[in-house]
Amino acid sequence: MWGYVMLFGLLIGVCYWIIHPLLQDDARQNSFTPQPTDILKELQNKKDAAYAAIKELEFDLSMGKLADEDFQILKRQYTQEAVGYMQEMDKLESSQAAFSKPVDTVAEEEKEQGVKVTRNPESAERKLIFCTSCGEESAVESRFCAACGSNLHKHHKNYLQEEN
Amino acid sequence: MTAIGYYSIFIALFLSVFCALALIIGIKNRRAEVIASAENAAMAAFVFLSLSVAAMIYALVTRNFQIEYVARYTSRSLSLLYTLAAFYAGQEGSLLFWSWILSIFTAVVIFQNKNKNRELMPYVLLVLTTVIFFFTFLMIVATNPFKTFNFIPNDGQGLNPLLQNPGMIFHPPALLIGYVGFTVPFAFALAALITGKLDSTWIKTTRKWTLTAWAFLTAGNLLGMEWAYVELGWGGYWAWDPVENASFMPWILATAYLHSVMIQEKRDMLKVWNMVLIIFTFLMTIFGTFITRSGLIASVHSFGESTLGWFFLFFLLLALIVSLSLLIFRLPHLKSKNQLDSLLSRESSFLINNLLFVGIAFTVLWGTLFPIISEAVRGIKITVGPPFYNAAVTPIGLTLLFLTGLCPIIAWRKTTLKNFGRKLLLPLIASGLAAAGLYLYGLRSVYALITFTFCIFVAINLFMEFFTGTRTRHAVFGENYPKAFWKLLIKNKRRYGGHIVHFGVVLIFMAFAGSVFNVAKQVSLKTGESFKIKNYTLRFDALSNYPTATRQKVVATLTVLNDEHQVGIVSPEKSLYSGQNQPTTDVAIRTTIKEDLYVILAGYEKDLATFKVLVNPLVAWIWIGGGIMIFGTIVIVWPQRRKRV
Repeated sequence: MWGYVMLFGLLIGVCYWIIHPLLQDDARQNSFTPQPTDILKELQNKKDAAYAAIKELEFDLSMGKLADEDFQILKRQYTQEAVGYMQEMDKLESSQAAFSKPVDTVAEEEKEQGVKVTRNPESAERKLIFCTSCGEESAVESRFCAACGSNLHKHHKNYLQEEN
Repeated sequence: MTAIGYYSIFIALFLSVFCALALIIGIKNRRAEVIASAENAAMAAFVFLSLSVAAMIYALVTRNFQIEYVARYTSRSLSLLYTLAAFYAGQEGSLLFWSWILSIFTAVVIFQNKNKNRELMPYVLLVLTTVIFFFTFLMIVATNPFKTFNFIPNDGQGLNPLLQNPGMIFHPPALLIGYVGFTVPFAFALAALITGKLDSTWIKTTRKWTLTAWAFLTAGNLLGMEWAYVELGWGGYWAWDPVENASFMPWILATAYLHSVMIQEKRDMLKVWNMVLIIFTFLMTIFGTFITRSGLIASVHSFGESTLGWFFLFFLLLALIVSLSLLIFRLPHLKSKNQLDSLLSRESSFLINNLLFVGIAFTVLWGTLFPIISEAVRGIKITVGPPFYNAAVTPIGLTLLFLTGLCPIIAWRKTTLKNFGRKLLLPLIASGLAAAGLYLYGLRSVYALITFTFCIFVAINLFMEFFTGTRTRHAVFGENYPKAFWKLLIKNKRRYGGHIVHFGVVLIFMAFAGSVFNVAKQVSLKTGESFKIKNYTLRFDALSNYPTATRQKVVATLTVLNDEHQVGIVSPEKSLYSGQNQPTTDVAIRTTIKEDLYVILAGYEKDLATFKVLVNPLVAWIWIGGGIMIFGTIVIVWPQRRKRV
C-alpha cells in the first residue's frame, strides 16, 4: 500500500517537474538556439585547439618527424583557422557590446576616437603591448596575441592603468 | 514491489512517448520551453527505470519466487553475489538493465549539454528516447521481467552452473555498457545529419563517450575470453561462436571509427566514412542482440528461440533505413575540402587501417550469416568454423599490427622518403635481427615468426616514440627525464595514451602467436602413476568425492613437478549441481608468465581417472595486454586539468 502511495507521490512530483518549464518564463526560454556566451566559449575552445595543434606541430618538428616545409604549411593553416575564430569572437563581442550600450554613448565614443586620431595620428600606431606568454608585440587594441593566441585583454587593462 | 516494478516500466514507456512528441512539437515550432519539458521527461524516465531496477533487485534478494524471472534464475542456496548477477542473467533482466543504462546515459548527456550543442540536443534526445521507447515497449508487450506465477514455488531453479563464475559478475555488464554506450555517438551523428551541422563538433562532443564505450566493449570481450578459458574446459579462449562474433564486430568497427575520426578532426576528411562507421557500429550492437534473442543461429550463448528477435530485426531495419536515408540526403554536404596529399602520410595509413578493419568486420559478418545464407540458397545449413575465420582474419590482423608500428613514424599530410627511411632504419634492423635470432633458436612456424617479428618492430617504434619525445622535451624545455616523460604523457594524452593501447595490442598478438606451440595430451592414470608433458611431470595422487551445500564434487589431486622439482598441486574437478543432469567441469590452471598448465578431469572411475592436459604458452599476456589497453584508454579520457584564470 505504502509503495503505491510513494509511486503516486513520485508521479505527481514528476508531472509537476515536466510541466514546470511550460509555465515558466525564464532564461531557458531562449536556450533552443545557442546563447552568445556559449558560442564565445565554443569559439574559444576551437581557437585553443588550433593553437594546441600548432604546439603539437612544433614538437613534431623538433622530434624530426615533420619536414620544415610541411611544418610551415600546416602552421599557416592552423594559424589562419585560429585567426578566423578570433575574428568571429571579436565580431560577436563587439555586437554584444553595441547591443548593450545606448546608441548615444556609442556615437559619442566614435566621435571621441575620431578627434583623438585627428589630433595625433601617430598615437594609435605607437601604442604597443607585449604578450606575457610569448613576448610577441601587438597593437594595444588587439584582444589576442597573433603568435600564441593568448588573451591580451588583461595586459590591455594593465597598460591603460600604467598610462593613466 | 512487483507491481511497482512493472508500473515503473510502464510509466517510463509513457514518458519516452511524451518526450518524443514534445521534442517533435518543440522542434517544429521552435519552442524552447517544450524542449526543456521533454528533457525533464527523459530525466524522469531514468528515475522510474531506476525504481524498476530497485524493485527487481529487491525481488531477487528477498527470493520472491512468485516472479517467474526470480524463480528461473535464482534459488535459496545461491550466493548473494550471483543472486545480484542474476539480474542480467536472463533475457528480461538484461533488457531492463539495457534500458536503465541507456536512461542513465541519456540523463548524463542532457546534463552535460545544458549549455552547449543546443541545436543538436533536441535531435540527440529524440534518437535516445526512441531507443528507450523500443526497450521499454519490448518489456511491456513481449517480455515482462515482473511476470508472476499464480502460485509461489518453494525454491527457484537456480543460476546455470556455467554462469556461476566471477566472469558473470563483470563480463555481461561490461559488454552491455559497451553496447549501450555507442547509442550516444550514434544519436549525435544522426542529429548532425538532420541539422546539417556536419563539422567535427559532434565527433569532438562524443569522443569520450565513444572511447569509454570502446573500453567497456574491450573489457567485456576480454573478460568473456577469460571466462570461456577457465570455465568451458576446452583449452581455448575464442571459438568464433556467432555471439562472440556479434560482440567482436561492433568492437572492430568502433576501433576503425576511433582512428578515422582523427582524420576528420585534423584534415576535415572522411566525413561520410565516419558517419557510415558509427551508424554500422550501432547497428551491429542491435544485430548482436538480434542474434542472441532470435534463436536464428545456434550459439552457446543463445537465450533460446523467441519472438523477441523479430522485434530487434524490425528495429534494426528501421534504424538502417532512417540513418542511411539521412546520410544519402546529406551526401552533397559531406564532401571533404581537403584531399590526400601523399600516399606516405598518416592519413593514408589510417585509411588503409580502416579498410582492413572493415575487411575483418565483413569477413566475420559473412561467416556468421553463412549458415542462414546457405540454408536460404541450398537448403542446407552449413556452419563456418574457426579454420575459415583464422585463415581470413589472421593475414589482415597481421597487416594491421605492422601498420600499428608504421603509423607513429609517418607524419600528417606527407612524409619525405628520406625522413621515413631514417626513422624506419633502427626498428627494421632490430626486428630483422630478432627474426633471425628466433629462426636460429628453432622457431619454424611462419605465422609465429612473422607475428613475433612484427611485435618487436611495433614495440621498438612505440618505445622510440616515448624515448625521442622525452629526449626532445628534455632538450627544449630543460626538464629532467622523469618530468619530461610525465609531461610528454599528460600534454598529449591522446597520442601517448594511444601508444599505450597499442603496446597492449602487441602483447595480445604475441600471446596469440604462442598458441602455435600449444601441446595437448590425454591420459588415463591410476592413483600414484605419473606422466610427462613438455617439461612437466604430473603425478596423480588422489581422487575424492564429497558433497557440498550446492553440489556433489569429484576432485582429482595431481602434484606438478618441473624438472624433478615440485612446483605445485593442481586440482581439476567435476561437479553435479542439484537439479542439473549434466556434470560441469572445473579446470585447474597453473599460470606463469611463460605458459599455462591446463588440466581437465575428463572422466573417472574408482581410482582411475582420465585427464586432458594442455600446455598453453604466453596466455597470461592476453590478460596483461588487455589491462594495458584499458589503462591506455583511461589515460586518453582522463580529464584535462583546467588552467586557473
